[in-house]
Amino acid sequence: MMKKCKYCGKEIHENASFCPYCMNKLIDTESIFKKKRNYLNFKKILVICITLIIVVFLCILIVCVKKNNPENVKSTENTDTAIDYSAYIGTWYSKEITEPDDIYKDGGSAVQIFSIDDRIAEISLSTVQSSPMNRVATTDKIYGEVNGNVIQFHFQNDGWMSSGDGTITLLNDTIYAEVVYTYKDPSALWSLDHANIFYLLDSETSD
Amino acid sequence: MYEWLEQVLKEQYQFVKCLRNTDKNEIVVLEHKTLKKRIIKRSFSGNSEVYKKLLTLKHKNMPEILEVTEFEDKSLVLEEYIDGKTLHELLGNGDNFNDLKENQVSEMVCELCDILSFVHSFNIIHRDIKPENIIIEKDTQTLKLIDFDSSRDYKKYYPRDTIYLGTPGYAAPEQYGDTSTDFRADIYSAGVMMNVMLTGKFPQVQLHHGKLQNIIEKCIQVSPDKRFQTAEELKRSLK
Repeated sequence: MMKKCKYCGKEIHENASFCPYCMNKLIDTESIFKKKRNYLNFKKILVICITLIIVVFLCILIVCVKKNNPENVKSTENTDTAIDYSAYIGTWYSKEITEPDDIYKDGGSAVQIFSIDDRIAEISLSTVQSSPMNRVATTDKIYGEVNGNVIQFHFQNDGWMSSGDGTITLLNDTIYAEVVYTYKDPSALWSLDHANIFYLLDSETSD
Repeated sequence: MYEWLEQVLKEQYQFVKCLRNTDKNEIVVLEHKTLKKRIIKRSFSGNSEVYKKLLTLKHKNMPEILEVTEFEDKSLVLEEYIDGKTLHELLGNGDNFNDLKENQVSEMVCELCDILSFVHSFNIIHRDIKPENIIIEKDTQTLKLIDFDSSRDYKKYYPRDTIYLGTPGYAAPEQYGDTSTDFRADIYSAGVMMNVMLTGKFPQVQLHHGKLQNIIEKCIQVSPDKRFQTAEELKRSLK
């Protein structure tokens, strides 16, 4: 007959879609985004895939060029505003995590930056529920657009069929990531963290 | 659940004001005693199918429906409270009528078309488009279409609309007559409302003269086939 509100823990009616105690809506809504999503046909998906492949290829090419000609590239960069993007490559964890395995014990979030330059970043975001459930929401590898110290990205599936947009702000010793869901699948049981500050683990920063 | 919800609302919320109270329908504003956040509570007799559908939908141009429950023939709906003024209040009346400029009207009706396209795509006709049912949110200046009490799911080949529900003057002719209403009834009402926004009067009394005149005239054609066929088509004509 009764269930517990997932936000405040108060006892509410099992059919309730809104918790009158904490005023949170308990069911996910279909926004205009989903309607549009339905129009995504095979052709469009194919075009997106091909574009992604080209972007990956370009990224690899740029990374190779930079590795081979480090001085040449440096000289063309604007030294006033240049950000050392390579310093951000690695796995960033939310504050409570001190060992990578902690994420599966106590739950937490991580942001992986696989590659990044002044235009494109290859990233993934994940949030893990504490044990024993250990539900995982993850975007897998996605691409974000880099503007100065901000990465803007869109994810189509967080592993629970929900999608949204987000930003990662590069703040020297930390990064700040924010996610806004534009569509939440009604059957989803887990999701990405809404906003968090992330740190590199000591073992990763020592080099 | 109806009784449970009524009980919790009584304990946790305080009454702020009554927006409407007729024998069939009551709308009140409630405020959470500790969170100080407001909600709208609608109680009415009759079915709440359309609100059940809206419960799972979200659009920036309508208040979010938070809860729908029924008990016997009574329905209770909780809805997001929008802080702002209705278009009716903003327009004023009589000597104090504040007419709007054509570009303001175009912008507002474009937003109205967005929400109409959205609800129409879920087979919902609003059927009571009028300035009293449009709120301009104070902080964001966003248009919000409220009060889906008159709407019901659009069923093709539905024999006729048995009870008159719309507001006189804004309702499309077919809403009075034998033919069943479809989405184009909302286009008609939008056209009448555009004229009222510009002149303060119904188009039959004083038709607006200006760039938007042709658009208004096309909206308010008696034959639904001669109107804009979709809200998107109306929006395109305004750009």
